[in-house]
Amino acid sequence: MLDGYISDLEKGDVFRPIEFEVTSLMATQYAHGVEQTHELFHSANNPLSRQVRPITAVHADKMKLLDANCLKEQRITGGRGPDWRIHFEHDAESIEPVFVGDTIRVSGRIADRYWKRGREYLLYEIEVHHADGRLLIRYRDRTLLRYRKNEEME
Amino acid sequence: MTSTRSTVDLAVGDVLSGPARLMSRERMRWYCDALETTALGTGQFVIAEPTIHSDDDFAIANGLPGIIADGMISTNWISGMLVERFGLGYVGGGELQTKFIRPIYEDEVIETKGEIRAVEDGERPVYVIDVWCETADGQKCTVGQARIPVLAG
Repeated sequence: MLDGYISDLEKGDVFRPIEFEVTSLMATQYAHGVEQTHELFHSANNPLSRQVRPITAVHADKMKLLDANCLKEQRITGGRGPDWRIHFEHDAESIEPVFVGDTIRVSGRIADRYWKRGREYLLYEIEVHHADGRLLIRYRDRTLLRYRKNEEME
Repeated sequence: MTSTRSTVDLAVGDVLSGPARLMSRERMRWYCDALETTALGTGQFVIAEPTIHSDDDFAIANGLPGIIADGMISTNWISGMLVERFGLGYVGGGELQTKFIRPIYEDEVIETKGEIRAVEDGERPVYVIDVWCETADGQKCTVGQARIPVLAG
């Protein structure tokens, strides 16, 4: 169910997509935060002659998508849900680089929600397209809804 | 400068490595702020609200023994190792999959590694690479696989 907490999301939910321009700060701040010093991410002074956003910054795209679709829990502006989630799996395929200055569209859905060994998981499937329609990133993400186990579900 | 050199010289069993890094409280904090600044996207720098990655009381209230690193930090350390070695081949056509199988706690020293598992032939040959981060005593924390096109020189 959209428009609630992240823990209200259900298998089959399709997110309302978001669209935005990739800025230099998005690339540099993300790269700087994880000590990625490669010039690709910090300027156009590289073989591609354009500044690139790190592939792994798709994690931030997921956060933006959730903020736009889980209105009771907008983390970017300080919102909180009932439990803190734990990221379990990241799987990002770069089809083409995401460049600073690109306008991108992020879309996705909840592919599954399930229990395993006492913990509940969400499986996200997310795509990042250029505004001209080209697929740039294909992303799958698995997250635990809470750290504490439910022993009845083990 | 990021590599654009040929990668056709790698073989099964070849190993990759990144620098050993202390997962300090500050490094955990950097990612919290960087993630939210990137996600907000307004040009403002964000100081993130308390999370399980930055606030011990908040982490304990969520059932953890204390703060733990966001799994994306170790994923990014692996990604950085791949950018250094494969350059544009990874950035423009690679895939990285990681799982966070053990929490990384404050002040653990983490080593980043990889090993060429296979070279898949075809119209577009691909390196299949086992990647992982482990503690100084060999406990794996983040494990996964990368697939990166082989670039001709």
